[in-house]
Amino acid sequence: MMGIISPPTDLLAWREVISPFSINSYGAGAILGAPASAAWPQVHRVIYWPFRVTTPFPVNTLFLINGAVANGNFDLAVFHFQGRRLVATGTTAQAGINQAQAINVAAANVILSPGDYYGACVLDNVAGTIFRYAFGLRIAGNMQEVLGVMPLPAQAAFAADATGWAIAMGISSRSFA
Amino acid sequence: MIQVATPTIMPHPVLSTYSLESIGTVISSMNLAGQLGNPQLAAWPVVNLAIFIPIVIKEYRTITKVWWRNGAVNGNVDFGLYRPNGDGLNLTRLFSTGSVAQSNAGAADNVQVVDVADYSPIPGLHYMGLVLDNNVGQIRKAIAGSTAFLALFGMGQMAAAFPLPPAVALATLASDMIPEIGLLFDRTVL
Repeated sequence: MMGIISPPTDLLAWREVISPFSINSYGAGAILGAPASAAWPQVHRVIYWPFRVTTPFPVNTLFLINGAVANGNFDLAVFHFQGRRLVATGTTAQAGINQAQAINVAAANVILSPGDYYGACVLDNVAGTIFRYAFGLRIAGNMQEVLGVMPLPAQAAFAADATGWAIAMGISSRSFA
Repeated sequence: MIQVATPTIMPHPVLSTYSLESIGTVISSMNLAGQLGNPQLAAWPVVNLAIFIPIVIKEYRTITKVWWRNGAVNGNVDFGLYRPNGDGLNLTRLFSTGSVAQSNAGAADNVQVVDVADYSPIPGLHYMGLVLDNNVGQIRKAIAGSTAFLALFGMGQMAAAFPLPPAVALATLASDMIPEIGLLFDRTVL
């Protein structure tokens, strides 16, 4: 008989809140900067940001840090790294400024298996603002897509990132932001 | 035959807010003021407000002491370790120091160390909790500079939580207070 005592020993395991700034994303290897409010760069531009989980991760809440102006609608989601949408908020009116707007998606019962994923955010206008840090480079691993309409598609069509933002969006296994 | 996985990094005897096991990556990636070595001082934001910081304990290890860094001292402090209940909201206390007078006695670096009964948590996610019974005593901290994006740190808070209660219902952190606190493992001298 073989017993295995092997709790996950990597630093990505068991995290409850994941964002571009966290150890599960490119925050692990970059000194970026504090996020600040800015208007969304293009109508229907989707910003995808990569992250990894190494232990099962139940997606309970998706949240966005709204900036100084709330306007129109957003959609937040998690995509498999090959582009399939796994869970999304759907089109949601942006409400509240300078604070987190959290949407509970627990009813979808999505549990991410260890692997690589993208968080996704899109706004349907360029008046709404979010918190972000603008590093201006594509090397962090973001991707983008410009949609014709909301909401986020079932299958992403990834294109090279032209924004260079670390967006203040979170994916949480908790029931609050 | 028993196989024991090899840690991917060396277990460090001191874990803190600034560790990779905690929220150190978020603090450093945001390049916040008050990083390790240069923490800023601030009075505790709200009387009896408990603040909770996530920390991943990766191996079977023994906690011998807990600590936090003071500024001007006042009143009493309580430090506790909690585990999540798995419901995405609630925590259960594993141990706490109980009410301790905030003191800088004998600590040139303002680190207040409190001995606890040796405790070996099951590896996994935990939360360190700290509460002061007043809003005069100072704690060293990192500075987010805005309360808007505090949710990205994965921290939490609970009001009216002095001394630290056995059960905690976490709420979103509302104060720009990222306290410098930590745990000592497997040795008795910090």
